[in-house]
Amino acid sequence: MADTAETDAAVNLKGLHKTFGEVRAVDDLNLRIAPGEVVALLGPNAAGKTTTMEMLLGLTTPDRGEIELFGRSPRRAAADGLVGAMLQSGGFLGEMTSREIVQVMAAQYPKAMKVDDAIARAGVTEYAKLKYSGLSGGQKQRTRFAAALVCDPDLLVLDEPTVAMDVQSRQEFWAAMRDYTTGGRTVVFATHYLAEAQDFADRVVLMRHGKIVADGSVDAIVAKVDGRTIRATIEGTSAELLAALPGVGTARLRGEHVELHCSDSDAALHALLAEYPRARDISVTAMSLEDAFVALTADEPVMKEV
Amino acid sequence: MGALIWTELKVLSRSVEFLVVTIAFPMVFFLVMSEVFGSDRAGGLDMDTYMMISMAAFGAISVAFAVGPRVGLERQAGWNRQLRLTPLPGWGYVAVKMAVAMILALPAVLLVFLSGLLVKGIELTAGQWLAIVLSCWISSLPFAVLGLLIGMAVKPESAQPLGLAVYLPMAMLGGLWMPVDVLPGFMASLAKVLPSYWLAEITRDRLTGVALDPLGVGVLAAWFLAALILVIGLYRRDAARV
Repeated sequence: MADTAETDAAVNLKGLHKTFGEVRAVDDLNLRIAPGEVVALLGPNAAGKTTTMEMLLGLTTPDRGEIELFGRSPRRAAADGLVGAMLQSGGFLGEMTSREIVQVMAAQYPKAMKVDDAIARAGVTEYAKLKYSGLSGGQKQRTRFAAALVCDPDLLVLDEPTVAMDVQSRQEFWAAMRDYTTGGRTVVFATHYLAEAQDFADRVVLMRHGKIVADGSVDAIVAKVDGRTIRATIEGTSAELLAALPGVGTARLRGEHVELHCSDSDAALHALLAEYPRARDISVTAMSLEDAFVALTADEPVMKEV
Repeated sequence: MGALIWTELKVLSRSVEFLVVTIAFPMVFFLVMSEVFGSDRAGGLDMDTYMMISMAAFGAISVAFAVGPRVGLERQAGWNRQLRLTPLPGWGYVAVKMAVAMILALPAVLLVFLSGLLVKGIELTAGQWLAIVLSCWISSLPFAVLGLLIGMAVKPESAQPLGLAVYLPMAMLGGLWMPVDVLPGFMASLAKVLPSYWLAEITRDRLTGVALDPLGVGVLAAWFLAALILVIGLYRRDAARV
C-alpha cells in the first residue's frame, strides 16, 4: 500500500538538502503532494522556496535527497511533458512576441494545447503580437503563464506568479488558475501574498530557514498557533503592564489602541476588564493566517511564556 | 527543434543591424578590398577571385561570431532554463544554435560570390561555383561551434568583445585580409594551425585543382571537435548550476 501511494504522488521530496556556501538553503525537506492538490509554499525571503522549486524541477541538483514527480525523475517528467513552470529565473527573449514564445514552447511537446487556447486562457490575446520586451510586468507574467500552460501539464509549478501584477490582473490570473485546476491538476505555487494562499490553496506549506515549519489546511495552520487576539481601546496604560496580565503573550500599544496576543484569551479578558473597566471597542478574534505566518516564521517566537 | 530554429531566424531577420552589419558587410569589404589589391595574382588565382573567397570565408566567420554570443543573452534572460523544462534535450539546444549559425552563414557567403559574379565579372563554371559555395559553407562549421563556445563561456557583456578578440586575429592571421605570403614567416606558419586559413585555402583549392589537403581537413575537424567538447562541458556545467 505504502509503495503504491509513494509512486502515485505528484511530487515526492525526500530528505532534500542544499547548501550554498555557508547557507543552508534547504535543510532536510520532506514533502509529498498528491495529484490534484493545490499547494501554496509560504515563507519569508530566503526561506528556501525558490531553491525547493528549482530542485523539484531538476534545474538545481540537491546535495542530498530524492526527488520524484509522478514516480519519475524531474528530467524524465519534463521530457514526458508532465510539468509546466513559471520561474523567477526563467525568461524569454525580448525580441520575441508573446505568441511566438508560446508557439515555440508548444512546439517542444508532442501533445500541446492549441497555442491560441493557451493564450486565451492566460488572458494574453490582446497583446499576443507585441514584443515581450515592451510588455508591462503583469503582461509578462501572463505570457509566462501561457507558456507554462501550453503543454497542458499535470503539474504546474509557479514561483511568485502574481509578483508584478496589479489587483485586477491578479484576480483574473487566479480565476484562470481555478478554471485550470478544476480538471484535477496539481499546482505548487510560492507566494508572498497570504490572501492568495488562503483563497486558492487546499494546503499551505510554511517554510523557514529551509525547513517546513507548518503544513496543512489554512484552518489547521491557524489552529496550530494556539490563541486569539484581543483588541481594545484603553487610556492610560503601557505595553509592559498589559503584557503582565494573565493569559497574555505579547502586547502591542499604538496610542490608545491595544492588541494582545493571548495564550488564554478568557483569562486575559477577565483580567483586562478587572484592571481597566473603562476599556471599550473590545473584540476577540481567532488568529488570522497572517498572525500565524508571523508567529511561525519569525526568528523570535512571538508566543512567550509569561 | 524546427520551430526553435525557425523562430530564431525570424527574430534575427527582424534586426536590420544584424542583416546589414553581419551579412552584407563582407560583400562590401570584398568590393572595396579587391579595388585596393588591384590586379596582382595570389595563390595561383587572380586577385579578385582570391579576395572573393577570403571575404566569403570572412563572412561565414562573422555570422558565426554574431550568432553564437547571443547564447549569452539567452542565458541571462533565462531562456535556456525555460527550455530545459521542456522535452528538448541538451544536445538539441546545441544543435539548434549551430543550425541557426550555419543557415545564416549561407546568405553571407552567397552575397560575396554573387557580387563577384555580377560586379567583378568573375567567370567560373557552374560546378566551380557550387564547389566553392559548399566548401566555404561546410568548412565554416568549426566557427559555428566556436561562436557558441564564446556565448557559453563568458558573461553576455564580455561575449561581444571576446568574440572580436578571437575573430579579428583569426581573420588576419588566417590570411583573409591579405594573402599569407605577405605575412612574416612565423605568422605564415602560425596560419597553418588556424581554421580560418584552411577554410579559405581548401575553398581556393577547389579552383586550382589541388586535392583536398588532409592537414587542412584535420585542422578544421580538430577545432570543431575541441570546441564541441567544450560546449558540451559548459552546457553540463550550466545544467548542474547551483
